[in-house]
Amino acid sequence: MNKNMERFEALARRARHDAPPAMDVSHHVIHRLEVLADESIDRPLAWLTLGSVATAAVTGSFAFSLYATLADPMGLLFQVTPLLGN
Amino acid sequence: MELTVGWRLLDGVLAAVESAPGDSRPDGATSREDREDIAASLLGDEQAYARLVRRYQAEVSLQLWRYTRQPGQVEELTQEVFVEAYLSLRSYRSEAPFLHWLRRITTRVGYRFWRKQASRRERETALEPWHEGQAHQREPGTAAEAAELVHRMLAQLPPRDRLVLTLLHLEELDTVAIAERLGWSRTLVKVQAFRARQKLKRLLEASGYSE
Repeated sequence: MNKNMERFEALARRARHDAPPAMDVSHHVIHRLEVLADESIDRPLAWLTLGSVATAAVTGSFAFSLYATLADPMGLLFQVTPLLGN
Repeated sequence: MELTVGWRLLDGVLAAVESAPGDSRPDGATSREDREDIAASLLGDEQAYARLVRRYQAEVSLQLWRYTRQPGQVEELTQEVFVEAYLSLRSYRSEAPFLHWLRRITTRVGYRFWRKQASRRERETALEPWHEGQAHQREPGTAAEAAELVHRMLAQLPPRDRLVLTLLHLEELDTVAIAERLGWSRTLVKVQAFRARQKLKRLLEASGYSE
């Protein structure tokens, strides 16, 4: 085997004994899972809210235009006026 | 008749093994406490999953220590492994030990980390480049120094080559185990390992590693 590779393997053998500092991530993991769970509950609700707001806006604008037409008694007259002009 | 007795004996042995107290061998079959904690976790028991995390976090972080030398990143990636494991816990089949399953996820998370680094062109070595002749200036004395040097050598390679060499030389897996871990064919592993070793050899020669 190539000398370089032999030395690399010797280094790697020694490197295997190196360990990271001890850590406890269990609380963080549980917290992240809780956040994910909240998001997964909140997301459909958020979409539902968004859908409701959009529907309400469309319905509101339609209702307003309808009200404006019906509440203005002169509106109909102005629509007829061009016919009289002819 | 003899066959029935044989099966009964085998059942008895298996039952005895399964009910052995303190059966928590990480590299053996899935232990009873793992199975119980997994089942409880699937039912939403947070404490059961926290126990699983505490049981295996040392192995997972040790494995990730080969992917990055930054303790903060190791911690972050360890969390990622356990979050991913939880999200796919339903797919876990207890025929294989839980640790083996976790190791596969860990490899995937580590490899993804390298690929992100490579794509952002923010390799750790970019901050501290590998100078020519640096390797033979001083032979590393401690395991940490050796690991640091090996890490910087392998960081010069593309993630795929780095992954195969890490699994071969740092995790001491053979080609069969690597193929199983990565879901590759054994031939692909051999070819990839050969190419990666050639690249590493050229790299070491270029840096005047031992001559």
